Amino acid sequence: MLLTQLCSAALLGLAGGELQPIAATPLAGDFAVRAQVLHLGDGTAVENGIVVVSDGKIRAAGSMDVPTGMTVIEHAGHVSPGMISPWAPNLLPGTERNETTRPFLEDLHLVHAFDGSLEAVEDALSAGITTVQLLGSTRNVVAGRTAAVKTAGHGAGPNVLDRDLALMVVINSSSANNGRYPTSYSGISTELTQRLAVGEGAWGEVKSGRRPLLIAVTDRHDILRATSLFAGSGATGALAGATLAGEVLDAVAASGMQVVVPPYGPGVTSRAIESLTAIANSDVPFAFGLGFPSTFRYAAAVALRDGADETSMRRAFHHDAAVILGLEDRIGRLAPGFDADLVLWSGDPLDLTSSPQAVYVDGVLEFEASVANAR
Amino acid sequence: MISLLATGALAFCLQPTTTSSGQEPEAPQRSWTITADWVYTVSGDAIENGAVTVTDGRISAVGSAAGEGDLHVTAITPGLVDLGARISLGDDAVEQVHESTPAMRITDAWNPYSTRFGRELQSGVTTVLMVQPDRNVIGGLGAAVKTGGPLEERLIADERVVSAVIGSQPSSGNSPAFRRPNGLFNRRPTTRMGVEWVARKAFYDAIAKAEGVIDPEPLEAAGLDVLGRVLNGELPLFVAAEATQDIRTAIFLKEEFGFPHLILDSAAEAWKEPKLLQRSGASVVLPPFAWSGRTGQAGGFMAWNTVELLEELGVTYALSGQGNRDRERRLFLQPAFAVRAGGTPALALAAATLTPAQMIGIDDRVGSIEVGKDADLCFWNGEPTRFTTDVIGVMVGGELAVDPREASAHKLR
Repeated sequence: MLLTQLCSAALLGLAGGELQPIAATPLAGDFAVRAQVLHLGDGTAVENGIVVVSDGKIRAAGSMDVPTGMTVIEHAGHVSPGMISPWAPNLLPGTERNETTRPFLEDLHLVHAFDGSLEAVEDALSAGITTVQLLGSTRNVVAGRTAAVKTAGHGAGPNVLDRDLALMVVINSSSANNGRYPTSYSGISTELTQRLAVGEGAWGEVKSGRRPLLIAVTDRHDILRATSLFAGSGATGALAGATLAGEVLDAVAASGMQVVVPPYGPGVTSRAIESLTAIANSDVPFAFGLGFPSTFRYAAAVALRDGADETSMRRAFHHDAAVILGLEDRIGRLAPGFDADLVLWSGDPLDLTSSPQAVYVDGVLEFEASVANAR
Repeated sequence: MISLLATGALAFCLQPTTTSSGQEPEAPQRSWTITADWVYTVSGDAIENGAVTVTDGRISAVGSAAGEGDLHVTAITPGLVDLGARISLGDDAVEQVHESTPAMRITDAWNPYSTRFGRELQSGVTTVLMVQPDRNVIGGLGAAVKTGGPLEERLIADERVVSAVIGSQPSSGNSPAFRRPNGLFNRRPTTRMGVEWVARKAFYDAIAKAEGVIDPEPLEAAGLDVLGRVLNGELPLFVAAEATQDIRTAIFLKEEFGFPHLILDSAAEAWKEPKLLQRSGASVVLPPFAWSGRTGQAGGFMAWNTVELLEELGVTYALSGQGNRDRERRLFLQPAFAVRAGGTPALALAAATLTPAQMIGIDDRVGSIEVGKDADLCFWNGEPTRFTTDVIGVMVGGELAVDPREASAHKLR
């Protein structure tokens, strides 16, 4: 938590646009983008901001002059960092996600099921989502080790940011009742408590805080069960998938865990939105789960109408999501040294009528709406 | 070897909730003086024109009314206690990897947000025993919880009973291992005989483990240690047994292994084996009375004069509404049925309050109106054991859950 706060403090300084571009001769392929509004990823934005990209990385971002001789893309709209989702179950092929041989899979690497050419990956990219966390099946209690991958740039194998990220644990009804042990919440709790106590392999890293947990939960009582199970163990991580997490915010905050909000679309209940608003207006970092890429920003827009804090909502798509992945020093912000993952929007990203016109991943133009629409 | 018992203390550490707007709700009033035409303390005589004083959620004084209080009702009884309420997460609350799982805790499978707690609360039940559903022969450790009040105060006591089922329920749905693909449900038992065998083997194994004859895997070992606590009298065995032969089987197990505390839950046909029941020293929880006599989960036949007979035999009994959806079959009406069929009013009321609390050892907290106990109270608009009387208000831990001043209170579901 402290680290997050320090990062936020540092980011505030950034937002002033005091950065000076590095004086150097531009490389071939370097470019700058000038946007009407430049969202820096930490919730702040700069009008008429410029982001300078060099060799796949961001060299500078803010209010500044464009370095001499550099190609400038004039964008009459908003520009943000690529969006990030720490909960993207559909980005692994359905047939490869559920390893049914045993319910405790501490050493399973989910990255091996990834196929970058999958249509779902392309769809995520075209919606402005450039980094996702790959998830295992919620039908297992320990579903494996997650990975963070980009949605483009798979030329020489998958574009992987972290192939051995969080330990995914499922504490809800779907991991029980699959015709094998454990069939009950009592069995899940008993077994996980024992594994945590023994602390072998990945569990040792969980206890020392070196490996985060990604805990799939559904109901409020799942959250209470999960937070009390790991309380005092040294485990860190995120609680993902609970619609009403905002109603047990004290338990979540006390656990020090982050929240991943499940995907919503039209038809979401007002109670779910009120819960999201409560999370957004608290100090708990949160991010959004990815269902259909086309409705990825839906919940945020509805929660804004409900009174959710706009800054924290904007941060959730970028910096806070990167914090959940432990990649906050590499993605999620437009700052020097960060990956040049950019989305050029037709308007404000929190306006549902806006759409990505171009998406860059590692400084490479990977999606262009005009090209895609012409197909 | 890892001791599961040492690491398995997973009772919820419940946190208070905040409203979604993030504002702290105003703290509810938890201190009161309530006057009544009659205060039924259950532990002592009823007090005419009595008063109960509540301070910070606990009963601080009981006696004659002196002046006007915050509230006046016709009658006050302790909040009702239901050992047979059957509130659980269904199949998610019973570990079916084995037919005997004594170490499994119901508190690990507790949904405090279940609307069924609220339903019980609306009709006067303030404490329930949670046990595993009837899929296993020996389900595991049960816990006593409140049906309302602040979340962090709901758990009264974990590990109050070891739950078990003797009857056809644990064997239904199981299939023999031949001619079927392997799966969880190719398991014993498939008959009542098998149920009895599983229960008896579990206790024999518990003795064998205690004597060092066997050294089972950690999970099983933890379970056998829990059964050891039944054998030495620390925990009662809480057995759902409705039909006569099942009641007999449960009593024979008690006599064979000599464990001191047996509670026969849902014991509809207890009246058919009066002498055996009396000899065994077991206590019973009766399912709700039904016009046809058929009641309980398995449709046992309960005679209307069951309570009269049990009182004659000196058998300790409690009443239950079994979590009925229909208000007409819930616990608050059972004392009236019992009295109508020959029961003593004081014992019948105790059977819905103090007696069940004593059966599972939580009577230091709930079950009667005494100084120092939790302010869990039930408010009535007449004599509690009369048919024409209804529950009009409920208090849990000093908080008004159902306000008797609201005209619609007695219309609640």
